[in-house]
Amino acid sequence: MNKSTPSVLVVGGGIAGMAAAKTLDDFGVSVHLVEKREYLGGKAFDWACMATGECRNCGACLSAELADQMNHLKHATIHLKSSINGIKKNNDGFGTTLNSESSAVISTNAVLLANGMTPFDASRLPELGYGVYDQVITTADLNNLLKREGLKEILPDTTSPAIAFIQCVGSRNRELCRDYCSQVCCKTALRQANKILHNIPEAQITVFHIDLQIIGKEFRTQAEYVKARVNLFQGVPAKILSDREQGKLTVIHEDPETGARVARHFDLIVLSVGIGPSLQVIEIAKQLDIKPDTWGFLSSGALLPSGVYAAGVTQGPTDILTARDQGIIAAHKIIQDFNILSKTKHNSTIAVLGESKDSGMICHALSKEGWLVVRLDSGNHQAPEISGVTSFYSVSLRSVNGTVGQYDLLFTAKGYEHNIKAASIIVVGDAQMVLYSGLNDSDKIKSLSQFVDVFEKTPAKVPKTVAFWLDRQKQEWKDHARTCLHLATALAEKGQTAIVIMEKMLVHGLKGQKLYDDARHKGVRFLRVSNPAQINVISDNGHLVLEMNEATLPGVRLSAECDLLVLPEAVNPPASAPEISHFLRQQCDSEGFLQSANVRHRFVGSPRRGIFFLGSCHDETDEVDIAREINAVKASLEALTTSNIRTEPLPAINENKCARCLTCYRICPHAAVTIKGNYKPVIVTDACFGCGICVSHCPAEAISAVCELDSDTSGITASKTVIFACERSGELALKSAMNMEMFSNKTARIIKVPCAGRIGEAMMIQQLLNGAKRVIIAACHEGNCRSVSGSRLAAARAKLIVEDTGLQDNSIRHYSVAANEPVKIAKIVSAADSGKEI
Amino acid sequence: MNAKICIDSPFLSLLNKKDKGDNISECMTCGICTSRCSWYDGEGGPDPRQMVRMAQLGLDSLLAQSYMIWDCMLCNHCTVECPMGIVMENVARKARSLPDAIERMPQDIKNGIQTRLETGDVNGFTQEDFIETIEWVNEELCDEMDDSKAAIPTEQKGAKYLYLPNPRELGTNILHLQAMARLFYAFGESWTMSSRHTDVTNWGYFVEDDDIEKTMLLQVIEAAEDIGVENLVLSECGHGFFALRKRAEDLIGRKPKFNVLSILEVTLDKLENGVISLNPEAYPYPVAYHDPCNLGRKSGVFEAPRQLLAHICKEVVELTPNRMNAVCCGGGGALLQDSNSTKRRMISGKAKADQIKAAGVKHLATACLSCHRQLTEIVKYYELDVKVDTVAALAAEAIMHK
Repeated sequence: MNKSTPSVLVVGGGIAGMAAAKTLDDFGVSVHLVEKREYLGGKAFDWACMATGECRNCGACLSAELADQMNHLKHATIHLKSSINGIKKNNDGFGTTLNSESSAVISTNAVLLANGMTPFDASRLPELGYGVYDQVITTADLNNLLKREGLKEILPDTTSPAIAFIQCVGSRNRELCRDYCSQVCCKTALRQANKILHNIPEAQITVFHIDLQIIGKEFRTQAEYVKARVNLFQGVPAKILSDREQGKLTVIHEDPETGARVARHFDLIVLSVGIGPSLQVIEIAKQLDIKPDTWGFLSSGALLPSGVYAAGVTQGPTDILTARDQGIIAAHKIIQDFNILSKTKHNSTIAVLGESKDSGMICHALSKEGWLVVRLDSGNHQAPEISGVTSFYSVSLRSVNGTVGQYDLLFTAKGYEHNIKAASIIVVGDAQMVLYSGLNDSDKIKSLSQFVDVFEKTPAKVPKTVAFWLDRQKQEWKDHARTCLHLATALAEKGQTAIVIMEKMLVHGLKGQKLYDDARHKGVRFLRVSNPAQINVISDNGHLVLEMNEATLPGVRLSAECDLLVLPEAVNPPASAPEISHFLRQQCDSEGFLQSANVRHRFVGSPRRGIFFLGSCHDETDEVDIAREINAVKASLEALTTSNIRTEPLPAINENKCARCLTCYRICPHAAVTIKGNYKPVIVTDACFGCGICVSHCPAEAISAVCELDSDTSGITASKTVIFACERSGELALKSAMNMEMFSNKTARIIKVPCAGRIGEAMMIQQLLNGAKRVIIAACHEGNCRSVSGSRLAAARAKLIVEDTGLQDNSIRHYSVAANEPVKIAKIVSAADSGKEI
Repeated sequence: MNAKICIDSPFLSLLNKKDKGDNISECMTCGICTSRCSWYDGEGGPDPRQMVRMAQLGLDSLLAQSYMIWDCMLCNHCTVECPMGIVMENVARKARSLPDAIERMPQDIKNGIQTRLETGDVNGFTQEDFIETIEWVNEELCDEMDDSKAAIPTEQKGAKYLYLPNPRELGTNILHLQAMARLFYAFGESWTMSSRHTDVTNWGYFVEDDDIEKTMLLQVIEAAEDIGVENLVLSECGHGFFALRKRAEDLIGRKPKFNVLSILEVTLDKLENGVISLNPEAYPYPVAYHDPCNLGRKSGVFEAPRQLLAHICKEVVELTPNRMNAVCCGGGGALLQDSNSTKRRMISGKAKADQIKAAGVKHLATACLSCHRQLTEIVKYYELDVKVDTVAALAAEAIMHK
């Protein structure tokens, strides 16, 4: 086999497998992608869009987009309706036979296992009545109903149906040998609850949970909004009774106010089933002589032999976005391991911007791979030298100009002005840790970092009884929860007393639950408090006494004595966030952390090519996340330098027409327009995403996009309905609807656009002049547009035309449609055909 | 109410063995148990999570003073699905042994325990009473069978079987004893009863006093060893079976010198080996079976009673849920034995009554005389037209004499 063009078998055509296949294909690696179903996309492909007026950042639509991209791979063979029959390691790599084809052996150098997930079989818990009562369904079933807009079929005819979600069905359960948190279910349930409320505003929704796991900015930034709209109860019912007379389902739970056990009645109960590895992994692992962990995952604990890689749920429960990143990272690991990239120095400079304990790690990782790293540290605390890294301290940024490959950073360091060029900028930086000072300053109260210091340096000074008070201030961060668990367990092991006060325990990661279980096993006491304001801290006779209303013991005013109270700091965005976001022309998220929560650019990217975010400046990140983010940044940097990736037609400015108004410079969401001397704007090809927002906004019509779009829009329109469809959302939804035979392209004319922002007023009106009765713009949900404002701009334009011209409301109309909303787009089109509103 | 958490409370040290089921410190307050307690109608009823939490946080006196520990039916239905494997009866029973709890022990239970310790029988049944009762039963039996060998042998050293009755069989439910005697008669092997063996129950188990439970066990075991029997055959009694078969060895620190069998197991064995035959047409209609918690969930005996029933009735109807998830009759945990709990027992039995109603049968069988009494009472209270019998009694009725 030719070493220079290796081949890889990717098992599983879900989000991780597809992302890996795409990355490998980009680098010219030949890929065999094996998928057992008849279409690609995996579980995420089946997932309904969770947007409610705006994107809820679940990432499911990305699967449809990736699946579409699979059609355009150059070096890939896709085996649908196939699974692995036999797989053998041999001298060159692996020989695989599939069940679908004749005995032909597929030889590859590497195998990437991305087999996806298996949802927990809820009928294993018979008392929940799954499969017995029609109105007990799983989150997967609910998803199917939402996707085909059929939820009302199983609800009674009322405007305010009572719906309950029960969390942790088949998760966090040692007796079922599933003592891990499935990581995704809390977010899924809350998103689904929110979606239901969007469709049925008066629905009464209850979520029974153990500890709501809200982790990651995709959902954390929206959690408060959703939480406020549902009833949350701590404690998960495990028995569902059917009340035949009322036709309702009943669960018993403890009323948090009175402490009495009360019955609650529901029209529908949704079981949040946990996720486990695909069963096929076990079979393949056996053939490759790999020992999965106790749960069947190929987690880091399971040592993979050389040439075998894992991504997605195969290596542990993950959400869609993480699975995508893992796929890309695994592909890069393969590329590195098989020396596909040239070993020559990259010869490009990467600027690492910001003050962070993690910046050393990224600098080291990059310089090891031959990048020239310049570290611009705003702090004055000199870090140890790293070879190949040039460091500046006390850096104060003055300006950032240029585009990817040629960023121009002006800054002062220790009073001197400097100017460097960098191919990419990586923003690091730590979130601010703020100690709450509402309690009387006392030597008996310490912040978590102060306590860590004492614990590590002078353990003898740690008193007998230590209390940790989590989520004292704002949301708890997973890292704090974990640190407290480690410390409390260590104290309990030494025979000291550790008490943890919390609203909820975050059990992030595959091992999070085990850590929590271990802490309780070793005697750490956990107290639940639903309202931190009700806790009194009293100094008494050399001790602190904490008085509280313990949530699991209603009616009891509980007190606990301790010698020391440890308060984790509140986590705030870094102080430099506003300044950095300004210089980099990047939005912050709604909590003020760097980087918006837009899934098109998460986890580490941005709408501006070559700008990356890393660490707690943009989201809560633990060691595992940092390692993944560093790998993701490395992969993205490699991708940027691989020249043959760009294929899309790009706009260019006609100098003769240009009025030098600089609208393009201001409006470009990707900051791809630079100004050369004398106010001459230039579109930088490498930085341009090809969205065409500048084309449609240029008052002088000086920007032309070299794409078929323009010629397409001329001529008489045969169809009454014309749909401008964003190629990332509306157009994919239409394709899907056509496959499902819900829509025929004979009933409407589809004009594919790179971004809805490309559609100018003239284009919209031209369709009507050409004879179209209706113009539909099918574009991304707010917050989901890759070009940030494209969909929003199109919506505003359509509205303006209708208002200004007095045209009928529905003659030009914008709809938010995600790639995974075929039913929605089909309904919109058919309603437009029949002249009805939707 | 105010309470202070205590890290090393006396109660915790009772429970902190961290053996399977004793590991209450591992509770993560998921609330599964609270949703599963079958006492879910009307006033009162235990809240399992609150009990575990009080124990976990060392709130001993709060727990001990709580009505919940005495209302708990010790049925373990709540913790069958505990993700941490905590066993509720261990918590509730052990809590009953706390000083504050002992003060609140129902008077009937206190009296019963005292009487049993003093006399070997919970009702204070004397040797004379025993002899008198057996004589009376024997007359009936011999008349009925028209065979003088049908009489119950007493104090037969070296007998193959020693039958240990429920005290009710020597009092209010003497017909049951007669039925059992007919079974032994049909087995045709040496068997005996003894004036020192009138009581299969063990109320020490209800109050988690290992000393009492052990003393009561030894009252039975040592006396049986004196007689030198091969097998001790227990009457249909859930907790008695659990104590003698599952707990005895640990508590007395050795194996008894005989086998502990249930009358059901013996009967099934004789049936399967062709020693006896039962009339398959005896009950030509469906009969439902109620799993006694102590026999089923706690001791793992699910199939023997069903197999026996299947031989003699048209169809064994299952109550839903059953086996591991079976719902307590509502008389468990000494509720049945406390005359002040009669009203509450009707509430705690509501779930069972609902199940029976939903099963739509006219005849219900169980394998525990305590369940039998409770079921008979709730059936009447909820006005269900259902007859209740024990499986062994039904089998005895179905014997076909050669």
